[in-house]
Amino acid sequence: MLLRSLWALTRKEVLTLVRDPGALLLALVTPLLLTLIIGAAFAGDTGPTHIPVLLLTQDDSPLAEAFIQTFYDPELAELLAPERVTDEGAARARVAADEAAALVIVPQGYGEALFPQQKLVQEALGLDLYQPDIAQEIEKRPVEQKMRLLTLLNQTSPRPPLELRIYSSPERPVSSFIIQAVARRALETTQIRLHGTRILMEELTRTLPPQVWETQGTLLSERLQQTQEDVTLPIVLESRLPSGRPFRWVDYIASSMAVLFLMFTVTAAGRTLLAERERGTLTRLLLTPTPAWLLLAGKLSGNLLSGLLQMLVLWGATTLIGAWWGPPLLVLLCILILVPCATGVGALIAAWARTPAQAGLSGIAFSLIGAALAGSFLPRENLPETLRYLSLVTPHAWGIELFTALHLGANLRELLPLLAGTLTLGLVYYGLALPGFRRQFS
Amino acid sequence: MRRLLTLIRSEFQLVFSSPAAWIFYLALPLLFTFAIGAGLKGLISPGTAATPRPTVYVTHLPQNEIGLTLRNLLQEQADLQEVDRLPRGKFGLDVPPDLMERLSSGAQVTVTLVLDPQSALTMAVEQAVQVALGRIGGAALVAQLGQAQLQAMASTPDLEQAFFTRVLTRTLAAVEPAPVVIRVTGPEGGTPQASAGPNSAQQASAGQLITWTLISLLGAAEVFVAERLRGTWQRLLLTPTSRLTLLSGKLLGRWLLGLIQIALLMIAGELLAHVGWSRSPLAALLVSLSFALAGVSLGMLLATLLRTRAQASGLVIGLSMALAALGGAWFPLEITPPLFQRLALLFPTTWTMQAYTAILTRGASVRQVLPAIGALLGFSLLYFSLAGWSMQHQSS
Repeated sequence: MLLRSLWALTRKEVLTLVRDPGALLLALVTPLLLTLIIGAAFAGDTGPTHIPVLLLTQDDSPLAEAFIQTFYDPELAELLAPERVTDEGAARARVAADEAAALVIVPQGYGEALFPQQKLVQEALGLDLYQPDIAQEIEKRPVEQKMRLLTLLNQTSPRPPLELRIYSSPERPVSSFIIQAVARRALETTQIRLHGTRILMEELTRTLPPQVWETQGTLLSERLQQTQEDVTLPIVLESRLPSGRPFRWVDYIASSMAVLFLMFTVTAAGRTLLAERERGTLTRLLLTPTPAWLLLAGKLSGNLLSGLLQMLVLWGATTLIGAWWGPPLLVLLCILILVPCATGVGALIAAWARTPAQAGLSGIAFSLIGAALAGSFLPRENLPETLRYLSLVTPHAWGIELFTALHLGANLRELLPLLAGTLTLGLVYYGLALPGFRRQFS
Repeated sequence: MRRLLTLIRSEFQLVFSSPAAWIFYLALPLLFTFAIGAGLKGLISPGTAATPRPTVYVTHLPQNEIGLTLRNLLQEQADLQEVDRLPRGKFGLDVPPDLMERLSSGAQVTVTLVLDPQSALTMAVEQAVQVALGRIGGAALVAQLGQAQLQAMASTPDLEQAFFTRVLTRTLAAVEPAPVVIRVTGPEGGTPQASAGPNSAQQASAGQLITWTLISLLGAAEVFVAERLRGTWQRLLLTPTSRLTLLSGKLLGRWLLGLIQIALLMIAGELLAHVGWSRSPLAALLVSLSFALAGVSLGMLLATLLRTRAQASGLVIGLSMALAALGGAWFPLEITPPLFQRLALLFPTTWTMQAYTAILTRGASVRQVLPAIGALLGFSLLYFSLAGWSMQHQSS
């Protein structure tokens, strides 16, 4: 009998929500829509493609040309859309107007700054180290000239660094960062090859006997020529994620938006209880044989069931559009623990608010403040530590922590502390609501 | 005119009849601006002075030139901490303990970088590690070539090992100081803010301003619907005041409310975070006027289409957030697919966000934001026309 009454009250609360288009709009349509938008925005590889970059060189050395050609590497064809320019003023104007992401300017003296020895060798020995058949040319020279060459190659003259300028559009910071990364890598590669070649030749002449050096020198030069081409470096970087799954915005937003809009739904329960009191229907219900505690339990369990249904529907719907919440059983467990905690806030508001309008406003304010503090719109990880700790008084934070842990591959044992924390917070909310309800129903 | 002013005043009284209005119109937007601004750091200003420094945990950091190179290059972007075991969910670099030996044996070595998937600094950290390993790998490649020469001369393994280590170590040391350095500047001639692009505070200030003001402007729909359902609108129509005056009063009231909210948020953003609203005040004013007009006209269109207050309430919040997200108010559109960027131009929030970003980052003049102002006025005309047509259609 009691159960039947409880079910009737619960069912009535759920039907009230389901039959209200406005409530459904807020509970289901909006979070789904936002998840779709974020999913579309971050579909595929996140990041700009075909970044328009202008290239200007003020130096006519082969090294400057090699640097420019880096931007035309076929591997970067999807990422960059390079264009050579000759008019710096016009190019700067285009970047300032955001028609291009950046202008890369190779300054005069670039080749000499990177490879000052080239000029020394050319002046002393008449050798152009840039020429394609340099190895054969060196081979023809007598030993004394070869030794002189080595001495010149190892001469270094410190000078202030030359600036390779990148003039970037302030409205494209990510594109600018990518262009800087490409430029830096090209510069690094060139410097390593030049220094490495020089040092290697010096070390070999020290280690090998002169007659061996003479015959092996050509072979080495040819081998070093190979380093100018693309070769596989002996160190490979493997980037890995803890769970094996890549981070996807759609996964994060699907669960965080579900939690936020769950809060809107469950905090609205306070308004309906107070509205019933204001209208007088609550008083009439209290006159029935149904005990007061059962009426309250019916209201709260109706709220609980509504929240559960909302979360389950959102989980299913967002999964259909590609979001991944985590292993299904663990997700279900998290939802079963989180929803009662969230409804605790609704109970607290219902217990202490004086009017329906006050309850409604408090619910919306709590939901939104919690969203800001807890990281509903951005990975929580990136918020200041103070905010992260402060937000632990909200179900938003615990919900996001739970689903984030699932995204990172947490198992049940690792989830237990978070589940316990969520449950405890819910008990605190209900505990604080109890005196308020006693006062209301007495 | 007096009637118009009365209507506008009553609109304000209605909104601010509850102190909670101050929470919604000012406190919450500011809170979101601060929180989102803090959270966006690193995502939209990677590798700049504005980027917070993550901690990268490293195992088996070599105590030689390789380790020094790794440390120096990584410390440009992150703080390094040597550990025995990599912590879960944080940036971690797992260096093989026998890295030098394996490189000198000619083997290819894999170094694993464990990413923190939710950190906004992933790109900067990955880039720093790639630069470091690129340098070490390049030096190792050259050293391996020389080692191969020695092997061909039938030298001893100890000699080859020593040779490899010397060439690698000297090459890594020779790269610094670099003879050529990269310098990034922007249209303002190299000020850190301009050269680094919009910082997170600018993105958040403009983005949250658009989001919350749009909620207020679209809220005109809820007001209209409520008046229609209560019957007060019909009663107002019975008064000598013309329909045009009544409509204008309502809309102007909402428009002014939106403008006041924009002004307060701009002032707060400028005073608290110096985001740059004062760089081009006239341009900011004109963009704001046209954005507010577009918002209130869309609210009016919604009012003609919605039947209940609950519908209006739910739709206002949902539509505001959706339009804000689509328009680049929550994340820079730069990182979205090209098709998404093109489709986003169908929304007034996109044009507003582009204009605000141009004002904040490079002090765009009125002439430079004219296309955005024109687009927003076009949207206003479209929404007003549709609203007028809808009202006429319903009354006929």
